Amino acid sequence: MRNDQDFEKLVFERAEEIKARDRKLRVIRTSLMPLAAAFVVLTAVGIHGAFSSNTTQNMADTPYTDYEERQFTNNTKDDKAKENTYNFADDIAAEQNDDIAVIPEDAAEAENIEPAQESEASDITALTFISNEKNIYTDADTIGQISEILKREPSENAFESKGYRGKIEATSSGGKVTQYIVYSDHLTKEGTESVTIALTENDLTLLTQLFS
Amino acid sequence: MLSAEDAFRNFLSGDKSAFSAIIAEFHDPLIFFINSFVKNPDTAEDIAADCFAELIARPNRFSFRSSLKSYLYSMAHHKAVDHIRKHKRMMLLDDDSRLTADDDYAEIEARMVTDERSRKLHEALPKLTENYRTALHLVYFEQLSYAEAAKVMGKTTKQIDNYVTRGKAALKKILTEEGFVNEE
Repeated sequence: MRNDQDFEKLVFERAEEIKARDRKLRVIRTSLMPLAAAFVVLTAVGIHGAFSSNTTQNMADTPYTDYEERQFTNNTKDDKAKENTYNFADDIAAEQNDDIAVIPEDAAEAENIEPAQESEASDITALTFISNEKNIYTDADTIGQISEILKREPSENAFESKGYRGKIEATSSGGKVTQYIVYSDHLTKEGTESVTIALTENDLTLLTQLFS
Repeated sequence: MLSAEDAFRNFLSGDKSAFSAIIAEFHDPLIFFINSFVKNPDTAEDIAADCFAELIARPNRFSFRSSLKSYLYSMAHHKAVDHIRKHKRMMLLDDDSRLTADDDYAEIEARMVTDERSRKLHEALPKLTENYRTALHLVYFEQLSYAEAAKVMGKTTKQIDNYVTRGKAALKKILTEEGFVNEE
């Protein structure tokens, strides 16, 4: 084991390492459109491969032609993906562009945050989604899924993610939501430090259902 | 004496030396606590260093709503549990480092376990299940409140109450079987 001085030196060195890692993470942003587009394109490629008869043989015989065909298909699917993205966002109004903080009740209690408001609906849990202007109530399953999203962080953030503190931010353009950004640990007034969490297609569906 | 929270405020205001006081206050008990999970003083020291480092690197994550002590122990608890999960197989093979670290760690242990009663308690704790052991350690060795222990362990206060009550019953049985007469 180390003496006091060596231990302190180690602590400050590691702090610098963590800061450097955080700086890298901060620049990683996941937006809806590239994700959705990538998902649909990848699916399209898979479907195209699965349902095109003699694809391999065709490629061997006339690779250029097949390449062109696949590029055309991909481009078409890519356009379709963009179209779907806008349809997907159409239902979400611009006024829903709130900053939503998600705080489970026990975490709120532990942090002495004001108790969440109770809903009159019997199937609603005491956990609420708290925003600056309104509370959005939802069921325990959805809260669990949101919590899972917020927990999805690099392992070194395991402690904070356990508390489920986070914020989901929807940004819009021309009345359409163009991306969701899920941050961790945004509840302190002293400052905000963001780590963007990657969203899957299921996450996006869940968020859309919640906010629409 | 300056509280840990005030020392941290001073550190955030630019007084770098204030962090030395925080390390001095929590170094031994944090390693003692972490070692109850990882059973390896060198690893416990590493994890403790990570906890302090994270406090420096991500100061905004401590919002001063709770005590710095419970915040550090929360971090230590999660990191220790995480470490066990990741290194379960390796820990079985890691007896050598455990032996080489024993002399240094014995000094920490001696500072934490100051009388016969706490020594017996310390020896019996590993025989309990993890939740009982952790709750009793936090409440009796670290003198955290039930609410603070709940935050550290990610449980409710009621659960901590249950763990402490049942843990004490289990401890009593163990100590009785070993012939140790509890003064309470």
